[in-house]
Amino acid sequence: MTAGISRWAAWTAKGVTIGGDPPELADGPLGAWAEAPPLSKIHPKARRPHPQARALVQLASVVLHDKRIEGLALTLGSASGSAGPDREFNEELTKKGLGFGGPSLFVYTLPSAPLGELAVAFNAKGAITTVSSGAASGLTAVATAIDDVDSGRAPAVLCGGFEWGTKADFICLFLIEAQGPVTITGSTGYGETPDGPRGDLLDLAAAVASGQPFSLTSADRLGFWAQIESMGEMQ
Amino acid sequence: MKNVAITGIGMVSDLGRGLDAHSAGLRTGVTALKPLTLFQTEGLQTRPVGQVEDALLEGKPNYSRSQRLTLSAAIDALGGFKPAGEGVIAIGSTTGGIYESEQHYLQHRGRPEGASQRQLLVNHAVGTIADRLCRDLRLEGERHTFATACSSSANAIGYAAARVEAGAPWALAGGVDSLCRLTWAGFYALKLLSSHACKPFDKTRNGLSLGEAAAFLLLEPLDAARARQATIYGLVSGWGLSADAYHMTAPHPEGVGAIAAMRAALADAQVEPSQIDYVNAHGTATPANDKAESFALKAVFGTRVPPVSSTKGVTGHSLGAAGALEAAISLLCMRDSFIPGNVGLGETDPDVSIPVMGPAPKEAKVSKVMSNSFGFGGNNTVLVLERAP
Repeated sequence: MTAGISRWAAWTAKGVTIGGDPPELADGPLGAWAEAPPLSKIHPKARRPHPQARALVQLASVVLHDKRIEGLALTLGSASGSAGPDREFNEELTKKGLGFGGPSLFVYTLPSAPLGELAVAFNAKGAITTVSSGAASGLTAVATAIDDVDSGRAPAVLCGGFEWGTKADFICLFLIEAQGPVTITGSTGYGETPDGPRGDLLDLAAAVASGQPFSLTSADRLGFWAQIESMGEMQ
Repeated sequence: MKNVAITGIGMVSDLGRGLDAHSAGLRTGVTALKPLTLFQTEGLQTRPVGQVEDALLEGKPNYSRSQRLTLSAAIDALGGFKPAGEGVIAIGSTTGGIYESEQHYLQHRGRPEGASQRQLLVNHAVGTIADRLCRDLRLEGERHTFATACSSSANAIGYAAARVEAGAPWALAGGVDSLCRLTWAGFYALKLLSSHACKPFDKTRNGLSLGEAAAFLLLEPLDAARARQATIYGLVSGWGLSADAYHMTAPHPEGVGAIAAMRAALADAQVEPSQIDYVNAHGTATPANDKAESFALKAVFGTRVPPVSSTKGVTGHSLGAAGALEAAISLLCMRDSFIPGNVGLGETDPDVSIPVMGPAPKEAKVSKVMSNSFGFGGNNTVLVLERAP
């Protein structure tokens, strides 16, 4: 499974970087982003998006960089999924009563809702998938995206992952296309974890930014792993 | 796909547990929806739901309800089969262990001792269902959890089938969702809960009925299944995906995404529309879904629309489990040669632009089935299942 990474961006409590070394992962919610594109400009159809979905749309807009890709697919990994909106909706039910939850908030209690928002915002009509595989969620999403592009199921995939309402929130997105400045391969497996450095999506962004060959693996306690590798050549 | 055999089916819903309970229940033509007893609705009007009897559930009391539903269906799907080699476990779910975590929330909100009740929260995330399943059944393989709203488990089956087609020795694929306060309140807020047992495609339909379920399929390469003389219930032959890119909760009114997914699944299966014997519709009984889905079916099948029914009038809408449950029901239709009716249907809505099954089931040989699953956010997944040659 081979494809190319053409653009990437990351957002943590320490801020946002686009196409370079990612910001450090730190405790807390996403940091301020003064230059964040206004939602009215990039997603005029938005009604009342949850802040989680709003942040994803904003970061995705800089990764896609005004590109409109016919059949664009979306694959994001998340271990926490919708835990943040779940808690908020339960809080709302407690305060207002069971029959008076906000419909617009309820929608975001689905882990897939942020991807639905991305699809509407960017007219992405390919498959939209949220995957959850514990600590391996993010790299699993990237490996799946590489396979989808390599096999021809999608011309391009906006992939990566997010955690929201956790100790250290982050979003990290990559655009995977058949050709890109950095050629990468991806695989998933079970059993003995392959040798080499362990890492997550932010480590992947750093490795891609380095321009050097890399191999990154994430694994969970039950033996499931995902691995992304690159020969490092810049095309 | 032509090489993915289904050699095991496990299913648990308001109809009971197992294939025979579901086949018999669907052939009565009577709804199994009943008043909700799992939790209180705080004085709000009760709505019928598809609730599973606790006695049918496997697992320990400290497991989440979704984990217990999963174990019940997965054990049945495996049927004593011991998978060899590293396979794939693929699960679709939307709510994970939220029934338990909302109990935790209600009991311990704002109290410091809440921290001692972590067990209720340990199982909140959807990915923990696969973890528990693999630990308890000692399954060795990749664990993939898909959350694509109401198409989650259809996606899990499609993904797992593609992996078997590509060389995986086996896969256990399906989905689960339990009833919970959050989804009940959410659909109530959206005014999408039917005041009566839901009536897919009916002129007077006014929403869906929630359900809970788990269903799993054991998938193996066809040659391997034949070599071990396994019962082959059918093949997974087509998987189609698309996004509406239209609205967060409403389907595209002209079914654009649904049409794309159906055509992709047919192409994957190398099957012509005229070869489909039955369509198990998504058919939620919401005004918008049934109208849009009928529009899409007309676009795909033209004037030769096969028998179409939604089984949600019997089971309710089990959200992330619905795709797998309805795939399993489709396989039962092949095994037992029948087509379920649209239970609850009185007069078909004139806005439903295709003929649909009446409320009663009918006897028919079924060889190829299309099973539709569409979800919030415009997630569309379609499976084509067919009888093994």
